[in-house]
Amino acid sequence: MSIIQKKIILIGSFSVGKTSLIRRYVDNSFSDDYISTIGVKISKKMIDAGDKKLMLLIWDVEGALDNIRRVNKTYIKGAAGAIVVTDITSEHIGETLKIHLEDLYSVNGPIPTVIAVNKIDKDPGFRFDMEPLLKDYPGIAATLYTSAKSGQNVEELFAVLAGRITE
Amino acid sequence: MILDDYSKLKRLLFDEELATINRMVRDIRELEHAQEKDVLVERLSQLITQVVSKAIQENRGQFYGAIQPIISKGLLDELHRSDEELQKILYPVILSTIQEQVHKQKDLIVDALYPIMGNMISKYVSSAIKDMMLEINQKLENSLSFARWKRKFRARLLGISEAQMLMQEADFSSVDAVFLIHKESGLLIVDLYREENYKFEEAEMVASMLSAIRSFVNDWISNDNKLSELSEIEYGNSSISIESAGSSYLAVVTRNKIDMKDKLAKVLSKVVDKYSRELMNYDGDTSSIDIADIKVILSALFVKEHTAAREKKFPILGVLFVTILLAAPTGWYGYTEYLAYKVKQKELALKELITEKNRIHVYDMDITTRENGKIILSGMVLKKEEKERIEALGKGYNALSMVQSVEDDFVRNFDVNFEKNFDTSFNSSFDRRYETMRLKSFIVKINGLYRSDISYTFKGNEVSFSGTLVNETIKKKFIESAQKNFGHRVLHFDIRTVTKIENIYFEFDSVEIAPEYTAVLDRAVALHKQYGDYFLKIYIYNDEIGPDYINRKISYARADKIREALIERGFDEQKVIVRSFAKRPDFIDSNGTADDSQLSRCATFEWELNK
Repeated sequence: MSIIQKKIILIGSFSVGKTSLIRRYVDNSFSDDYISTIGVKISKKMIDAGDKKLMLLIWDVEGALDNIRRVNKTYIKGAAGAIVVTDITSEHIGETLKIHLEDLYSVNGPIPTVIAVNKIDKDPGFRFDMEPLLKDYPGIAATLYTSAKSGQNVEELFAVLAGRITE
Repeated sequence: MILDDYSKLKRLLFDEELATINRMVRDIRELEHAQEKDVLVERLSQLITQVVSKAIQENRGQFYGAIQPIISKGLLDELHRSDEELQKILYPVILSTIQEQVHKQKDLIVDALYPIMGNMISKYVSSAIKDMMLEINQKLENSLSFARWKRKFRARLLGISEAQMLMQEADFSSVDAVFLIHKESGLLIVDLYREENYKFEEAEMVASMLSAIRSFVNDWISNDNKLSELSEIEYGNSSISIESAGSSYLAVVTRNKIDMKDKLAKVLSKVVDKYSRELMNYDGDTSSIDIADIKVILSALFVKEHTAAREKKFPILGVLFVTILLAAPTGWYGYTEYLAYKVKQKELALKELITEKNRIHVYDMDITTRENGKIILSGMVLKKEEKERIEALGKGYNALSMVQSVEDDFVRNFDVNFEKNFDTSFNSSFDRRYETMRLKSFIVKINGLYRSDISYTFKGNEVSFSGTLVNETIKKKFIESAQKNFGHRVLHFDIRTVTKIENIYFEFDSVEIAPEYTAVLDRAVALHKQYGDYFLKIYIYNDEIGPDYINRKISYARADKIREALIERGFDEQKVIVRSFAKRPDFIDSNGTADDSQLSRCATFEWELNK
């Protein structure tokens, strides 16, 4: 069985725990230093999706809100799916998600996207109403409440996305 | 006693004053004493520290200015006076300072020293090479063999020394690894190694990282010319050479510096010519492309080419010379052949300038020369800048570029800006060929933009277009543009549209889709199965009766209903895009009647290639 490579974008504002999610999940990755140098960090994870074997190449991209630089849209090009990360302590979850989703869709169209609401360990009952976003961003496949700390829903996050990509 | 009395009286009268006078006398004596040098020094020395620190505290600059000349001079004197002693004192301090600086700020130190060190090393190396050459030459002088004489003869012929010839013949360079990478996604298409032990463990990650670096350099650093690209990364005596074309690029890891540029361009263009469509649509699944065949083509990169390139030119010149000699007796015929040869050479030179020297990949490239000597160039490039670049390059060759770019503002004005000053009668065979090129460019562009399958036939004075386009609007634009560009001929159109899907209307306050629209939904799904590339955009409007937010809510619910109904029937949900409004559609007047309200509660459908 041949292995199918897929490029995945991981995007989200500064300090929402993107990099921790990656660390919890991947098989191998380049050093964290790259993200501060060229604005992207690449990691790899093998995953089974149905009868297919996928190699996810995860591009952890500096989001537009990380600093004053614009997001480098060429990094987003050619992605098969995306994970947009926010966290329950963020003040404007809806608005920041929109900015990232716009960046993504303006380059790739509505690719399968999973929203990760991170740091759920801090308030396990927290829920965010994703309904208004679903209308404008038809690529959103699921919203998962994750914790890089406890590992909650981290594997699932990538599994759901992989499943959606291979559908 | 009298004296005593006098004394008494005196004491009574002057006792107090006497004490004062005595004190004054003592003070005067002390003052006289204080003017003596030693005492003055003693006293001032107690104060001087306080005075200096107060002066420094109050005005540091002034104080420093006042004493600087003395200090500098003092230091200079000191330096002149005791070189050896100073060295002894300073040596450990300087050494440890440098050590610490090197440890802490290595890069800064390297930057500072680089200009000097670079020159020094290159001087040293070139003198070493000179010595080596001398030595080789001397050794050669002392040996005799047939091979040596042969080499000597060739060196003379090329105008270089025999030692240089030897150096050229010895080749220590090697290609260790070759990667073919999809440009947009950075996904690895093929990796190939000289030997098994050169294999990269994480080739896919390396491909992604290289692509990121490439994007980074191209986007953030090279802003002077949009066409300049990262072409080489060097590390130690290895380097990664990068050559890109269309939708993929080659990255080749080499050792001991070889100039791979031309070879890379040639090999890559072979792959791109054969597999351009597969490369463009590559999505990470290697079974979609003939990897084995690409590996065969790429493996040419491992083959070492010795310095034969230069010699190869001689036979061509020789053949030409002989051809001209043979052709001469046949007079005019020979001359025209020669002219044709010149024309071909010019065309080839232009092609080389564009594809090899400027590394622009042109799809469906075609070069032909008109009778007046003007070269016509057609084809398709990805970027607008590439198109402009080609136009500029063509000028030097008296060439007219009809090269089109996928990025042109074609969607907006839909006009192919061909040169119009041609003879519309098209009697000569050249003009027919020119017209065919125009038609070809036109169709390549339409099909590239709309992923359509329009084809044409060109017989006599008639052109027929047939195929499928996305919707009526684009069909109308296409026909208009064809008439504008090819209106001097008789045109026939057999164009189908993917589409029109009828509107769906809703009852007042209802979100249910009436059963009569089942056929509409089924048709949408059937079309979707046939034209999977297209997005179906659904616009939901409402009647503006009642509050806005209620109308919006109802529109959302209707949108969901239609979306679900389509997905249930097998429509790919990623290809459904819904836009819900509380307002009436534009085609209904806002002061309308009850009938208009009924018509406003509708869903309309559009097929689009973009989201």
